[in-house]
Parts: sequence; structure tokens; C-alpha cells
Amino acid sequence: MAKVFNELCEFYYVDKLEKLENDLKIEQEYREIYRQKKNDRILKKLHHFDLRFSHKVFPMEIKLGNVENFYNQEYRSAYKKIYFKIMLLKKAETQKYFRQSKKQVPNFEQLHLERWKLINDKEKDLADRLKVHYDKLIVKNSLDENQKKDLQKQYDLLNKNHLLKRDKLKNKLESKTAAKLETYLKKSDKKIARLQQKIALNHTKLNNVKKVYDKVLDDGVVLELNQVSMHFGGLKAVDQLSFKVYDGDIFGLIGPNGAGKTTVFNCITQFYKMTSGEAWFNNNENVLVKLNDLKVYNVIKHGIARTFQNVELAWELSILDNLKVAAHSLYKSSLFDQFFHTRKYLKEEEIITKKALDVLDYLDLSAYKDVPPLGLPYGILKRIELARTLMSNPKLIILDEPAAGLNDKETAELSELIIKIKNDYHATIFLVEHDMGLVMNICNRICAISFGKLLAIGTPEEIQNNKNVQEAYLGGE
Amino acid sequence: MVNDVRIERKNIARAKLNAVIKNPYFSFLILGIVLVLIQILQMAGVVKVSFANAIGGAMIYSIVGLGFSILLGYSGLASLGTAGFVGFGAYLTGYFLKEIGIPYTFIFIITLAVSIIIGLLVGFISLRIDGMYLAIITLALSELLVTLFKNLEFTGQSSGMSIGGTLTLFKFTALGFDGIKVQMKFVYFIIVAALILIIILTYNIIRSPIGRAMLTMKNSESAAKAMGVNVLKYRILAFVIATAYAFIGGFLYMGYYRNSNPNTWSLALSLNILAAVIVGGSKSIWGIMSGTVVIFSLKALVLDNIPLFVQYPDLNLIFNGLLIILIIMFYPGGLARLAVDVKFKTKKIIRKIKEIKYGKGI
Repeated sequence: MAKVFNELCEFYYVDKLEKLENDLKIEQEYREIYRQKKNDRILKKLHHFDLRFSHKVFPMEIKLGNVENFYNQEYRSAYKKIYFKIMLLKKAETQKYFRQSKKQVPNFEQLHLERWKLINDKEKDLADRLKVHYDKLIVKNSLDENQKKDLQKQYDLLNKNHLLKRDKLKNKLESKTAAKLETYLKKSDKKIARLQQKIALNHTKLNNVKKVYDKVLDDGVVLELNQVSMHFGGLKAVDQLSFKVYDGDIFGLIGPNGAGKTTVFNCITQFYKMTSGEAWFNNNENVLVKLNDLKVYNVIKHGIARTFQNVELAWELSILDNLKVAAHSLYKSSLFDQFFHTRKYLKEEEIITKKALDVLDYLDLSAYKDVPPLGLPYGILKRIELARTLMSNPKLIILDEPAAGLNDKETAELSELIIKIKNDYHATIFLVEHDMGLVMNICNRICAISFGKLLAIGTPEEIQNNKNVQEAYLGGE
Repeated sequence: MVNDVRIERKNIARAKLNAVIKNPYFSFLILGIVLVLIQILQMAGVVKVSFANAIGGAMIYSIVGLGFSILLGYSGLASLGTAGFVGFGAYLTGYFLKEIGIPYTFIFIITLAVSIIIGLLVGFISLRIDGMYLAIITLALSELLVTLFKNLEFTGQSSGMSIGGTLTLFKFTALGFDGIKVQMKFVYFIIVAALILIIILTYNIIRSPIGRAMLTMKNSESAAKAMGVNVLKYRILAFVIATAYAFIGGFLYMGYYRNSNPNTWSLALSLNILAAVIVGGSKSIWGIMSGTVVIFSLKALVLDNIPLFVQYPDLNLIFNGLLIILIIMFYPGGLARLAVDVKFKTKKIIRKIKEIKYGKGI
């Protein structure tokens, strides 16, 4: 169920990201277009201004005889009228086409060519007609030299005034557009900043859902703690602890009572949520997992199995059933299968029962399989806890004081057992222990902590010779 | 040589027979046959009507009790709200039968759907609450429902709701099938069928990862979490199952007794079901059924034959209370535990008798 939800989240975030990025692109490109549009408007207004002036001044120009410019202007406006008429006709025809042929798109290029031919023909017609018209006018309105000079002077004055007015108008329009552009650019800057923020947020959310991390673990590292801190109110149970556990290690964590060892375990297995820091784990499918993101009951699926300091078994179930519960995360049958005991569930049950029996055999506990754990000797209960961890194919087995309450002979047996398990199940083992004999015997790397802070990491010899560790824990010499 | 073959064949046959007889599903089937026989004998006049009625009532309450046991015995969650839910189921079926006229078997699906929704709600509410406080909250829910029953129009207010006449079982008017109509006491057979199916379902749940996960959750929540049991999911599931069973009990109650009075769905009923489950053994199916018979039907089955109890009719309540006290004080495992101990003790006694008779070493 959670997987489906995660996938849907992913799709949602990817879609949103696309939309946001498109918005950003559009916003960035439209700034240029907006600027061009405003400038075009200025030009258009100036053009209209000029046109109106030229209309006023037309009779004078005719009398003076300079109409060559005017051909083009008049011609162009007339041409525009015709062109717009043709556009409307074209729209009507395309609508007719769509209605008639029911979604058959017409060949616009051909239509356009036909129209363009018409326009060209009409162009030529118009040009000829205009030329004739203007020639007639010029002949009509011809003047003599003096009148021409006066008229010329008037014309020049009018032109000058016009140019001055034009400049004023241009300045006014440009300042207005500059103001408008400023406000618009500010708005669009804000919008772009907002969009970029949203995109960054979306990226982080997507990465969280996809569990894509920037981190890369070193070669052979199975578990890495990075500046882990656990504060209970003002009490710093664990303070900026970092260490690495390599594959195939038997890693020991030692320290005086109250140093925070069990807290470290609980932080790794997510029984407590650490206040700061990260725990990285290379799970049994060799995918990097950030343990902080996981819920308590999902940690076992990635290959971390733990035991408890006080033996926590279900005292109402038989020992075989206890082991079957340990494999709970391996069951693939649905609730329906379990309600009605379908074939699929029965097959799975047999497989897991066999596995449980094998594990019991491996640890010499087969005699106790149908007995509830009430009243059994303490050593047997500890071994059952150990058996429980083996059921879920773990990559990392965390043992919380496995030798507590055992005498020397039993501790020796336990150390042999731990090495045997490590070799047969190819697992990494992480121990917390007080019994120095056991720790120095089987661990190949030890981490010593005190009051939540790291004292030393290294091989047993290094730890034994470390002064800080000696003072705090081993008894200073 | 021939003898050996004969002995071997006998052993194989015995093994096969044992495989069937000792199969728990077979025992449930036998139970169903016995219950059906009781009603048939009653119809034939051999068995008293009160006897059959008492058995019918006990069956309904044992269904509710099984749901309660999944909550209490397997998940360790205290809930005193069962009576309200049973009443809700009863009124719901009554409403659909009377006002809307849907056939009886179709209402089953509606009650199931409503029960799952309400079970999910209650389950979500219960996620953060434990122990005594959960009991109080479920009790409050039950009382809320009862006050609703007493005051709403459609549940007939204080006088309750009653349905008369025949009961239609199936009706497909679209296919032209007018429906099977049955008389009132036929519902007994439906109750037997429902009971056997629910017993089989509960048995399956108990012996599956669900049951084991719930027990682990009850005994040690940290161990459950460390082993991959989603405690939230299984808490909600326990509530859904218990509520569904309660609603089915109400559904059958309305079909069997044909009326529903808001005073029945009181705290007393919740506590009686609690007592039945504990007296019988909160984790055993046979135990719960015997517990419900003891608490709810002992009067009609046994005590009415004793003149002392006929003379003073309220003496059976005192008897019930004493029984509960004694069993919880001296035999907390309940009647199921008692049966197991009796079995072992008789085996011991038989062995001792054999030793005395034939001497030691055999």
C-alpha cells in the first residue's frame, strides 16, 4: 500500500515539476515579447500621428507636387483594408469547411495562395488606379512660382511643428512604457523567484520520495552513523557520535553504564528518532537507505535484526510461533489469503515453518519448539532471541548485551556461536557488551563511548592501549 | 506375515480416520449438525421451545463474543462498546427490512459495509489510547448510541422497533424472482450457518500471521515492532473484525427476535459478554461458546428445571455473579483451561490405575 502511495507521490511531483518549469520558461521568454510589444505600440501610435498629419497636409503636397511618398502610405492603408476583408472571408470559409466536412482540415496553403493571387491582382489594380488619380489631382492643382514658395514656407513650418510634437509624443510614450515595463519586470522577477523556490522544494520532495540521496558510502561500509545526537530535553544521551561498520565485521560498542549504548541501538533501529544526525545503511539489496526516513516496523525489511537486553518474547505463543512471527515481514500473502487459508498462504506457511525448524535445529533448540517460553532457563531464552534474528535473512545483526547473566562457560559457547553465525549467514554483527573477555576475544573493531561521546575506535589492541578508554572504563593503569 | 499386513492396514485406516476426526474443522461441522438437529427436534416436538430459544440466543452472543475475544484475548485492547454496536446492527437491519423492504440476505452486505467503516473509525480513534482509557472511550461511544436509539424517530424511540410477518430471503424483481419467504423460526438455521462460518474464519485468523502478530503486539510491543509488525494496522484490523462481528450479531438478533428495545443494549450486556469471554477462556473458541452458554443460557437450559431457581427467579443472577468470581479467582484460564486440566488429570488417573492393575514398567 505504501509503495503504491509512494509511486503516486512520485508521479504527482514529477508532473508538478514539469508544470512549474514550463511556467518559468514562459515567464522568462515573455519578458522580451512584452518589451517588443510595448515598443511596437509606440511605433504604431507615432505612425498614426504621422498619418493624420499627412492627411492634413495632403492638399498642400499635391499643390507642391511631392506625392511620391504618399503613394506608398495611401496604398498601404487601402491594401490593409482589403487584406482584412480577405482575412474575414477566409475565416468564414474555414468555418464552413469544418462544418461541412466534419473535422477535415482544409489545405490552408492552397487557400492562402489563391487569396494571395487575388490580393496581388487587386494590388496591381489599385496601384494603377491610384497613380492615375493622383496625376489628375496634380494637374488640377498646379500653382505658379511665388505661391509655391509661400506654400513651401508654410509647409516647412508645419513640418517643423509636427516633428517637435512628434518628439514630445515620443518622449511621453517612452516614459510611460518605461514605467509600465518597470512594474511588469518587477512583478515577473518576483514570480520567477517564487517559481524557482517552488521548483527547488519540489526537487527535494521528489528526492525524498524517490529516496535519492547525495551521499555515497565508502567501499565495504555497511552502516554509517554521521554526527548522531539524541537529546532528551536537556540530557544529551548521545552527543555527535560518528562511526562506520564494515562488511564482515564483528563490531563492538563498549562503555560504562549510562554511556548511551542502548540509546544508540534504539536510534539506529528507529525506536527513538534521533534529534540530529543521520544513519546510513547499505541494505540487503545493496541500495543506500537513510534509516531516519524509516518507520520502526520497516527497519527489518532492509536487513537489520536486533535482540533486546531484557528478553522480549511473546510468552503466550510457542517458540515455533515466536520464530514464525520473526519472519512476519517475509510473508507475501494478503489479508484475504490469511482469512481463508488459501493455497498460497498454506504454501508460504510451510516454507516458513521449515525455515523455523531449521533455525531451531541449528541452535539445538528443537526440543522446545511447541513449548511456550514461560519458565525456561535464561540461557535458552537468550538463544531463542538469537534464533529470532536469523529468521529474517539479516545483513546486520544487532545484539544488545548477549552475555548478560551468563557464566564463563556459557559466554565461551556464545562467542563460538556468534562467530559460527557470522560465517554461516554472512552477516555483520554489532555488539554491545560489558564482558571484556567476550568483546576482546571476538570483535575485530571496537568503539568506546562515554557519556554519549566517542572516546576511541580501533582494533582491540588499540583500545586496550588507549589512555582515555583506560581512564573511563577499563580501570586506569 | 498376514497379521502384520492386517495390523498395518488397520493403523493406516486409523491414521486416516484420526486425520479427519481430530481436524478442528470437522469438530465445527459436527457442532453445526448438532445445533441444526436441536431445532429440528424442537419442530418435531421432542425438545422444549425455551431450550431451542436459549441455544439460539447463545449462538448470537457467542458470535459477538468471538469478536470481543479477538480484541481482548489476542490484541489486549479493552473495549466496552460492543452492546452499542450490536444494537446499531439490529436497528439498521430493522430499518432496511421495515421501511425499505430489502430482502434479508442483501442487508447482510449493507451491515458488513457499515461495520467496516465504523470499525475503521473506532480503530483510528484508539491508536493513541491504551488500557483503561480505551475502555472508557468505547463505553462512552456505546452509551451515545443507546441515547440515539432512545431518542431518534426511526428507531422507535423508547419502545423499540418490531417487525412482524414473514421474512424475505432473496428477491430479484428484475429477474422476475419474487423471493423466498420464510417463517420466523427458520432464521435459526441461518444463525447456525453464520456461526459455523464465523468460527471457521476466527480459527483461521488465530492460526495465521495475523493472530500471531496480534499476540506479539499484546505481549511485547517493542518486539513486535522490531520484527516488522505494523502495530497500527493490526490494532485497526482488530477493531474492524470485532465491530463486524458485533454488527452481524445484531443483524441476526433482529432476524431471530424480531424486536429491539434500547434497554437491551446497555452496559450490562457489554459486561456480560466480557464475563462470558473471560469465564470461557479468552483465547479459545470452544471456551467462548461454553462461556456464553453459561452466562446467557444457563437459566433456560439447566436452572429452570431446578425448583429452587423457579421459585426465586432472580437467583440465577446471583449464581452467575458467584460463578464469575470463583472462576476468575481460582481458574483465570477459564473453562477451556479447566477442560484441558481435566483431560490431563483423567489421563494421569487412568495411567495410575493401569500401573496399579498391571504393575509398573508397562
